Amino acid sequence: MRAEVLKGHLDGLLLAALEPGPLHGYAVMEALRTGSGGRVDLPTGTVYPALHRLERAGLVRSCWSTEGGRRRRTYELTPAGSRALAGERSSWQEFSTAVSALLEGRPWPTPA
Amino acid sequence: MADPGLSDASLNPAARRVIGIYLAELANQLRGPSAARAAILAELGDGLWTATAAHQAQRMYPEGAARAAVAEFGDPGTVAAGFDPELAAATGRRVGLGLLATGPLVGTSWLLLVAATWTGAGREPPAAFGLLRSAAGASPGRSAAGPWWSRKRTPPPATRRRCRRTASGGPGVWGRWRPGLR
Repeated sequence: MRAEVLKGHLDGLLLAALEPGPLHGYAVMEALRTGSGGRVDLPTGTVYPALHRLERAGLVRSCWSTEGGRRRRTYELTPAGSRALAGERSSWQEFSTAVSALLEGRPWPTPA
Repeated sequence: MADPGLSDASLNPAARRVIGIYLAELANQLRGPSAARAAILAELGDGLWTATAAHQAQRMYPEGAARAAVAEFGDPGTVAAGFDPELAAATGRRVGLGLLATGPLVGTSWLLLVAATWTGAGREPPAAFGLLRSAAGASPGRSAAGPWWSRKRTPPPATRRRCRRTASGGPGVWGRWRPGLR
């Protein structure tokens, strides 16, 4: 899956990858790859600026530790990030239902 | 021959050269405060070595694993461009803090200079200038503590948060993913 296809959804995917618990940048990319069966396969280097952007927006926070003699930065969701993820999920549901209805020629589902 | 999956790629000169070249190219294209750039390079360096270990776990030789890691991270120019907004924000914060720190000093210096000019001309400067001099530590009442620039400085708070450690002593956040241990 190419980066431009994911445009607009990357933030939600990164937040979802961090939902189970804190991860460092490479592990975030691995979570995306594994969770999508290898279909989400962005250049790993591009994930780091996106994580920094989410941190500046207050949706994730990071901390540093030393692992195997190297400095390692780990990210975790903030409460605002959890709320943003819930919002992303809800808007994705609405978007995918609408696109599915249009592509498959089905009527818009109406509540019973 | 030793099992390539068992040797530590970070000890392999060829693998170190591959990762070093990538980080040097990235460093050349990052624009911003040196501390922010150093943090980015440390973070991506850790990521590259973690990726190298992951490729080694799939039975690649250290140099090949490092090359695969570099290819996986993508073009350094593209990665560096991704950091532009963050580094610009960091530069803005630094300039803002600098102005915050130096603005009052410059203003006070100007006022003290004006006060000295008044005194030199044989006139008593307005009372407000005396207050300023007191604030700068020049009045006899403040001489015991000395002027502000000679007082002991409190070290600035740590700018980077360190991870909380768990009871077992580890950072407690690494358990979810380790190369070769999935």
